[in-house]
Amino acid sequence: MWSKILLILCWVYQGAELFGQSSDVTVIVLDGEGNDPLPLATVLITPGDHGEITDEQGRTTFTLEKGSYNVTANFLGYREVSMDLEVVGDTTIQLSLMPEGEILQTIEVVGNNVSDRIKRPILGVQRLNEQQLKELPAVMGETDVLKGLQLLAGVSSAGEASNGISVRGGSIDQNLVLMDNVPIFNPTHLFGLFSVFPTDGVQSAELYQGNIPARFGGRVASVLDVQIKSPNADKLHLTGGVGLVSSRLSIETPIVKDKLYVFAAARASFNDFWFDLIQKLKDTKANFGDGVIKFRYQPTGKHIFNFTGFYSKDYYQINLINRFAGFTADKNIYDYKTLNLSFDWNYRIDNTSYIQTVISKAGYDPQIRLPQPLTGEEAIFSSGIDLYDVSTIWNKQQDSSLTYQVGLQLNYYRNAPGDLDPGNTGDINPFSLPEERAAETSVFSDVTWSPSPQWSFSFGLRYAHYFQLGPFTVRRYNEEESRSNGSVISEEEYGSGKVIKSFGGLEPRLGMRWGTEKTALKFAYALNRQYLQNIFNSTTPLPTSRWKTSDVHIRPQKSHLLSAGIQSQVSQNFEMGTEVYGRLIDGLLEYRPGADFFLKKFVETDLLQGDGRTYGIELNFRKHQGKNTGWINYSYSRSFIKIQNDRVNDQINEGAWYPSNFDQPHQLNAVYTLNDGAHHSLSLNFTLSSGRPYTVPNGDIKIDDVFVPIYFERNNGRLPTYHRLDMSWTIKNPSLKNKRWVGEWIFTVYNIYGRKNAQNIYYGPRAGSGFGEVFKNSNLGAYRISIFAAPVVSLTYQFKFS
Amino acid sequence: MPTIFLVWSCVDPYEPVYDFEDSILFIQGEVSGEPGRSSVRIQESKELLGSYITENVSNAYVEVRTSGEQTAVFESVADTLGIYLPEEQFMAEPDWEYQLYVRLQDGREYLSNWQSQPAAVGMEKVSATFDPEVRFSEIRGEFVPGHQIRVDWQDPPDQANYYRWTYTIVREEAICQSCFGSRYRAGACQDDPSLPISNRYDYLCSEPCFSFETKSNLVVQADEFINGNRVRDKEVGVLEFESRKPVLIEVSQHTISQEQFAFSRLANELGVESGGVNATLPGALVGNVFNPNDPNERVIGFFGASSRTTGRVFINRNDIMAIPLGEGLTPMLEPPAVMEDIPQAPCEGPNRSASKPEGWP
Repeated sequence: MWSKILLILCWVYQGAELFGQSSDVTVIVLDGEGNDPLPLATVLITPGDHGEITDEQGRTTFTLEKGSYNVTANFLGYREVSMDLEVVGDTTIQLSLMPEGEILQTIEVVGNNVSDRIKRPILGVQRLNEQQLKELPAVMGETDVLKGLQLLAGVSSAGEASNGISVRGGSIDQNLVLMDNVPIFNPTHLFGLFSVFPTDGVQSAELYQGNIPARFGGRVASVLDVQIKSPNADKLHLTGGVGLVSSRLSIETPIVKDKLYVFAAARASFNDFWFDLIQKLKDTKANFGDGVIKFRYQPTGKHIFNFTGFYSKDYYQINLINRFAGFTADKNIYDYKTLNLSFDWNYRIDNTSYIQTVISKAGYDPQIRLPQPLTGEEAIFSSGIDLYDVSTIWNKQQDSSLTYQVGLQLNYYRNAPGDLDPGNTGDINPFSLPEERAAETSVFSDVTWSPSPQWSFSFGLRYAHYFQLGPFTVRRYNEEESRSNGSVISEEEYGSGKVIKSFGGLEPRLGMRWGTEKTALKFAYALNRQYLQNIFNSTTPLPTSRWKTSDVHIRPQKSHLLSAGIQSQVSQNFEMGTEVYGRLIDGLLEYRPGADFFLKKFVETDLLQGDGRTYGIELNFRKHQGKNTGWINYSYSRSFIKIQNDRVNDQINEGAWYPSNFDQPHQLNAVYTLNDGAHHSLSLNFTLSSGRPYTVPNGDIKIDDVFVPIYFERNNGRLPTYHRLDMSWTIKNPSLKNKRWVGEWIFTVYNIYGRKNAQNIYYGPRAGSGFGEVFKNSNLGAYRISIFAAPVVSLTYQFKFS
Repeated sequence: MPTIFLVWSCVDPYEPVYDFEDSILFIQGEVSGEPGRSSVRIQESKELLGSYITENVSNAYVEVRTSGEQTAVFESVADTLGIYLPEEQFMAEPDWEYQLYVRLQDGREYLSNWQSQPAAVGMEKVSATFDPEVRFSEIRGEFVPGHQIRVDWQDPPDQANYYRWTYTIVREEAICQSCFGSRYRAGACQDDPSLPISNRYDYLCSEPCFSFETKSNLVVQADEFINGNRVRDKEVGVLEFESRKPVLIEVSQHTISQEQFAFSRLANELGVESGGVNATLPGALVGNVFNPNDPNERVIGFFGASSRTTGRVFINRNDIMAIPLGEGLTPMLEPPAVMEDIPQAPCEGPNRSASKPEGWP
């Protein structure tokens, strides 16, 4: 009897406790594709109209009475998600949002949720998250953003040993490469072998090659937006790797719990000692390193502050004679570094809007060292470019169908194109080119509107105004003649801060999507202007290639891009898509024969401008589920240039259209991944593409003792077809034990069958009587340069500790 | 050149491909401040049975006009087709300007722009420095020994100067005649049916004999960054250590115009420095010769006026601590005969002289 009474009393007591007791409900909002946390997402809970913004861990906590609720999460550019929740005690729920909004239409190559990819109205955006990047095979054990992107349709290397990528037939400098919102002027190490992005520190990489959002400007081909991992770990995490070429370590840890976090990653290569074992490589040094550090500070729920610092340095030396402007140096020595700093402040105004303000500085400083013969004294050529940026963006989610952004941006360029420090050489004079200064102000707005499940629209408008600023000396040339030192009429000096020349204009961006659950049709238009370019009279730019801001003589590049596509889920496991595009460019830069920009004060005498046009079709087919996954994509793309002028000397190829250096009509990529999920992952990728154009001589002539090839046309030949097979095998956690320390072995082979793909073919002197069977009766020898002419095998051990 | 790629990279010979254009006229000319060193050469490209040839043009009218309103007619030389020479005493004057005029037999006319002769700049020193790894030989796959030939000079201040260097290698020769499938008799190679055509006999010189091999790799320099300085150890050439025999190197330092410098620099980049991953892109070699009646006609060439100074260095290579690379062919002397002395040959032929050259000890 007493026991029954006791039970009844307990039940009554517990019921009284439950009734009117509060519980903590933690909501974590994730990016549904990469499972990355979504900071600044809005979470609404009804009834009660509870609203909060997530922190950088995508997390927010409510204190609720027990009962039934509806939880809604939304975030700019993602589809809203709702769920019912019965609160009976402290609980944690996860909501995954799928990208949707700001950019219309996409061809998503890597990802798992096909249905959402069909619905997502994004065109011309390639997105790789951290996990997807790690699954791609790469050179020498390093997974790499740029190498990964090159496996996607429309993206190609600008030739092996190039320090960038070509997007839809564009040149390398037509891509804006951002790391945490700050431009990277040279995104590669080892002349393109690795990208500078830290392997363990990339949260996501998005390549906009179609409808570029209006918040981005300044490049005509693409924007690569790389975000560094936002530190949010509750405890210490260590990751790293030890490889044949480089080793790396990263750390993520809280400093002040729930307030201050840090992520830091560093990578270095010191393994060049073995070069001394090869006679050809005696005295060769090839060292590089980079480091990134990111702090996140969240003092309150309304404010989040981030600080990112990035430093990268490369040093290469080889025991070969180097010649610049008649200087002979005993060695080739390149030494260049990047230092980027950015600070951003996110301020939540209310549950539907926030402001993001970024202040940043990007700096790039390459050097060529010129040790003099016999004395060893060094003369140093150095240059540098700095970009200062302030921007603020107001983001507003009006409702589930309408979001918009409005922003301002101010850029200031300081470009030091060249200084020569003679050191103690004695016979070289110091020389310094005047700095170029310019400013660019922009206002922009992006609006995304989804009036129905079938229709989505994206409207973007950017107005940018560019100012070339003094101090500077401007030459005036006789317009009846080609620009040369002999056609100068006058020189005019402009004082400090004085506006020498300005350009500006509206840049509309438009995207549309119409679709069903299984199929989506997409369309986009974008106008972009570019005020900064890299000038180089070689196949691809060197790290030391000169940057040039637009000025009185060099007008900005302007491009119109029109694209359309269709994406379809053909079955549960398969999907396919097609995209077509066409781009017209005005103001494309080309070079006069023999153009040389080394310490040249007035480079406009060596530059020509004309028109460009690119067009193509991209097809992709992928299997995205199961143990065996992969994709095949094919693109047919063309890229042409026309330099036409009334003056014959200012024409290239007699003013006719000719293929650009990045014209590779056919490109096929196939990626296959076998992943058993637990122990092994094997990836193969095959690349096949047309060779890029090169220039074939129209004859030769002997001048003094030298047979000199004669060229009248540019890019009138084509290198042999390029193809390559790579492999990456990852052995996961070999001990099969679930420990805090987890190790993996990664074995990679680049160019498995060792094809000697031609990076270039050049004509030069015949080496005596050698190779007679190849050169036959030609006065000149032709030589094929192959960069990775043999399989490149690598083994890397990488680990995680938490 | 991106250096690290040497680890995996390779350079392979590749069958040359051409997109031949025929009827391209090549006109090269130079007037010098020294008698006997001015000349004009005219050639024209032809495609013959699928092969590309440059044909000498020997029936043109060539004259050099001067700012002194004088005209020097250059005549075609019979045994060097395509080359036109002035009278023996012709030499350029420093204060005058010169223009080339060419009229082909079919009436086409060509002009150069006006060129003046820059003042000569003397060298202070010519030296040769032995380097056991003077350059990397792609054929041998290793660094090879040799001498770097260097010059010192004082660049004149307050004026733009442009330089080009050539050098002549003087060797004392032991062999003065070689006969194939024949024997040297009565001052000439006489056929001998008993010898296969591939048989070679070499014959010793009957007198001192010096050979002259002139080299020009279009090495040029502007004084933009060295103006007014004494420049030391400028490398102007390389002599591989092929033999221990002594050599005399005579370096010529030419002062040229800015236009000729630009032309020669581009020719050097196209013809010599064209290798490497990031070499200068091929481009049209635009000179200063044009068809005044058809500016669109493609003419390759340059007419310039230059001055020259010379310097010498004698290199005794007997004591060098390295193994010579080898001279090429091993002398094959005709075997002694019982009834006959093997004749010796005189020092004859182009680029040979029995006179000891200046600078030879």
